[in-house]
Amino acid sequence: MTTPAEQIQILFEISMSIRNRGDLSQVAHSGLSTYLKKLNCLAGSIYQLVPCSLSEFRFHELLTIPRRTAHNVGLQASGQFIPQYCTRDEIDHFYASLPITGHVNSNLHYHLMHLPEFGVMTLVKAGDDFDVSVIKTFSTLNEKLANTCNSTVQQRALSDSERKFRLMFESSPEAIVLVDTIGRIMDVNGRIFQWLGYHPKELIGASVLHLDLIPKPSREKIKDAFTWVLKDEKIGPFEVEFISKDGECKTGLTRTTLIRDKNGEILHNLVMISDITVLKKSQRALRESERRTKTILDSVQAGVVIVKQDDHHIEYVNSVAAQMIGLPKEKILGRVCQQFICPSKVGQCPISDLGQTIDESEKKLLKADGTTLDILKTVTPIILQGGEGSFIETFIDITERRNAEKALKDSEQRWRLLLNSLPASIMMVNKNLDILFVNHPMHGLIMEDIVGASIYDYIFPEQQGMYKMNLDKVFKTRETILTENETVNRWFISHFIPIIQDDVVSSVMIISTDVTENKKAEEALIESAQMKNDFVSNVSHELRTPLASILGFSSTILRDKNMDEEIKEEFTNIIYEESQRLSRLIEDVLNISKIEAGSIKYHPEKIKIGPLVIEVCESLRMYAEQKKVNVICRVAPNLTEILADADAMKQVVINLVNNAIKFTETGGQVVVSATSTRDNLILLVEDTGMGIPKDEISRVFEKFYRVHRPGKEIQGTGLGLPIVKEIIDFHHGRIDIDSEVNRGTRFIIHLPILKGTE
Amino acid sequence: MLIKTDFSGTLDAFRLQLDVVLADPKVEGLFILASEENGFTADQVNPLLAEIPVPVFGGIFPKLIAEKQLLAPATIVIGLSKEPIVHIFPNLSTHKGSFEDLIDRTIPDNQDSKTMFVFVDGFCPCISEFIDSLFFVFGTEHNYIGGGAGAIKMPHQPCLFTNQGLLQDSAVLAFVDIASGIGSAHGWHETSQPYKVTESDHNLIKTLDWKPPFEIYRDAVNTHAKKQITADNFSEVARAYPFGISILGTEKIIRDPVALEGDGAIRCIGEVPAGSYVQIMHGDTESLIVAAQQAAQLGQDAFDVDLPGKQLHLMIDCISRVLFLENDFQREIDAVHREGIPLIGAATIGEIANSGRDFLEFYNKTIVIGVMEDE
Repeated sequence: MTTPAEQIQILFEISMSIRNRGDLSQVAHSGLSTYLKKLNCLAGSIYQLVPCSLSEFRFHELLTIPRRTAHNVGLQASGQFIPQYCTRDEIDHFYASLPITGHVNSNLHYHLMHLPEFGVMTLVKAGDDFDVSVIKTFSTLNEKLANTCNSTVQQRALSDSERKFRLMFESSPEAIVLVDTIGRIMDVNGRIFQWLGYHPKELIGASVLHLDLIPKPSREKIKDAFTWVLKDEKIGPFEVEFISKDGECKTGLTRTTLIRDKNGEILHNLVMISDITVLKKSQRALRESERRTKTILDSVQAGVVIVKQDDHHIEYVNSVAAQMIGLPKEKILGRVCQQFICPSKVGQCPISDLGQTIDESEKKLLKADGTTLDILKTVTPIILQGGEGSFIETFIDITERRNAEKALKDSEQRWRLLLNSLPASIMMVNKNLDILFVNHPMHGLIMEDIVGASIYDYIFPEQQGMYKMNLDKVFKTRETILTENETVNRWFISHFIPIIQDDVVSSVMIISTDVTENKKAEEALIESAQMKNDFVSNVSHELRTPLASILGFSSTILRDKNMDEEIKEEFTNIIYEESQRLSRLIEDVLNISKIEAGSIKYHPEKIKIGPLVIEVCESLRMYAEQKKVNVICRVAPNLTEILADADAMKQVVINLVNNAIKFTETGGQVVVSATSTRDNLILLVEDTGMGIPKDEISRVFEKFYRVHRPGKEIQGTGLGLPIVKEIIDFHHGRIDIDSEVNRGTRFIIHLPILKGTE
Repeated sequence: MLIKTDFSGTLDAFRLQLDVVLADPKVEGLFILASEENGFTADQVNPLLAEIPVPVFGGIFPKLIAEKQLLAPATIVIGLSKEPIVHIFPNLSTHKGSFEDLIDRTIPDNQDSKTMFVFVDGFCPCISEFIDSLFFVFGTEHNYIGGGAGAIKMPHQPCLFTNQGLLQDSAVLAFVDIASGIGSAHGWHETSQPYKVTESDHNLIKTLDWKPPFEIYRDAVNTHAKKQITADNFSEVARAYPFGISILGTEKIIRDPVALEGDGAIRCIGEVPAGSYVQIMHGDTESLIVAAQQAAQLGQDAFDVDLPGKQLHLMIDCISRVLFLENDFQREIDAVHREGIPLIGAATIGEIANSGRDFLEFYNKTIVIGVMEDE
């Protein structure tokens, strides 16, 4: 069916179809499928010999056609000849047995063939088997297929390796230029394009010594470097300037290395360039920054020193600091900061020793001349170039400020004391009626509670209307307002004074003075004046009455020479009595005047009050009898002595008993008794007279006060009881009054007994 | 199998055929053959195909064969009692990547069916590559039978029946679990020396021995043919002078030259790989009919089940043989027909056949006889 010529043609076709396609599986697939197609085979496999270990190999099934071979008995039959894991000797033995031809049945044949240096191939054919002559020719085909597979593997490995090196070459962070011995660029990596903007195509073939992108001085540098390198002289990295395609100046740190072949012949010069443009720029910027910083620090109107963190040695000092310390800079540098700043705080640096992150505090600076300055110092840790830790200390002279602060503080304190000691409440409010200041915090509050609050929170509701009206008016008219107001039985005078700032009423000061006592004094004064008027009137009346009697009766006697002697005697008695009365009156007035003036002198001595009481009662008995008032005198026996002025005590008893007789009507009774208790001598004067109204009892000791008794005008000066009160008070005694109108009055005097005299 | 043949080629008749066949509850799938003279279009046919509840495959071909005669117009609907597993491969000519990988990925590895029906758009330029890939995946695990579909009067139209409609530039594979024996032969013989295909693009031969193919072809044919071939009569004369590609130990693979293109390039049905050697072939009525007999015998020999009366013969015959044999084509039908065994088939644009003995190929000018089990 197929002629020998056709056979050759078919095998030639197969041979021609076996080509290196760059990928082993593609080569194998192309080769095997052509075998199958052109040789009319049903199936086939290619096995590649691969190492499993240093001494063991296995046949890896590289490809089988068709893919689904579950029922392919031909492949299964041929596969059993292929060893699994084997040594090189076993493999050689297996290869020596190839080709293996067999059949599953008369219609299905298989062929296992050697692919030299690669592996084995099986072919399964149905129908008539291959002619022997054909099988012989397979070896050439198989060799080609094996060679192609092997070359593909090697080429792939080489390609992988080349790709790997190319990748390394291209992905290098440095620009790499391969230059031949005459300076011509053979290759460059992509980094050059990224860095300088020149495509490799623009550079390859050009001479590095004539490239526009390298300025002339740099070309010379490169030329020298190449010369030295070619002479095998070692040169270190050197800087080269480049001009990028867009005209920017770049700096590269350049190193050159010679590449030689196996025989030591120079092939290429490998030039590696690191882009240090940014580094150079930053170095320049750093230097400029340092210069600028130095200028700034020197022009700062504060002392600045930089000290090393570990040993506190001064690394930098500015002019102001040097001036404050009083030494030239060079004499300060290198010294420990605590020789000048915080001299007594060695080992207590707030940052390095006490762990603070920033220190801002007032310290002392020790000047070179031994004097000190008050300074405000700030210390901040900084990291300088190179990672070295330092502190930057800045300080200013605060001596003047301190003095001013002290003066201000003293002044403020004086003013505050003054305001607080003023007997007036001072409050300042703004336009919103918020309290800005009070000198006497109210309601037990502290100043901070009140300042900022509304004034209405701290004044009585009944005052709010008045305050609002006055504050509105002051803010509007700028006029000071003075008001008098009463609150809770207290009287105040309030001044609403505008505080004008920038021609505007910024606030109002309210000064409130409590004038309640003044008011009371004023009222008392008025009352006192009234009482004096009454006194003058009374005294006048009292004086006029006996004087009128005396004048009347004496003129009658003088005029009537023939007056009956009996009448004359009667008239003379009257004149005498009136004179007595006038005398007493004048004496009372004088006594009270002396008492008030403090000019009366008491002479306390041990006296027995009993005889004194009896004597007074007896002296007044005639007056009582005239009024038909019964006077009973009861003096307890063995009364204890008291320490008292005898005349004053007599005056007391006289005034009380005289009053009792005076205000007791005819038929009435006056009881005078003297007893004692453990501590006191009790003197009691009790009458059955007209009594004192309850609401007037408290006033009976007021001078010139006289109990109102309408229709029952009784003569008197209103001085008797005040005199009694003065005397008893002087003698540390007490007077109690018990009285009921129309029933009588009881005066009880307690006088302390002189201890040890019982 | 339930076979319904219509000689009118109308759409109504087709609809009726479908109704009748589908009414049989035993029918699990449909195999449809239609002639291009029916004029079926996708718009007409797709609604009918969409309603078919069972898997469908088949194609439109230049002519059909049934009832011992060549038919056109005609429609043959075959109801299969075994459910076919149908896989469709659309847009073959624009597919990027390997067909082998596509097929392997698309078809599950559990197809135990004995026979694979393979129909492709006969005007698709990469049929051979697809067919090779089928073999590279499945090998000889199945018997293959099928061919190129399409209309020679109106090429490049939808021509493959599927449940998705009538498709173009596609392939449809139907795995059917029925026994079969496939035989193929062509009857063409060499009339020239071998020429090397020095340049080609799929089915277009660009140079032979680095010369315009038509120059070589013309010289070779004109030394043999009574009628001189020219560019004007190329189709008429060339049908008797196909190319043959040598395969060791078997018949040459025939490539049918169908068109002359610019620069003397010759377009064939089926691919002609560069590097291969081709010879100019020639045949006559007798050689072709002998080949038909051989194909029928090979098919019968390959069919394992010998159950007379339970067979169906499927004849896949190249349309170029029909055109070449003209009236003698009836003799070819008669040569393969066996009394009592239904014979149906189609005149195709290229043929596909394999029954486990040979490498799977896309043939031209070849007759394929499939002896099928008919339960």
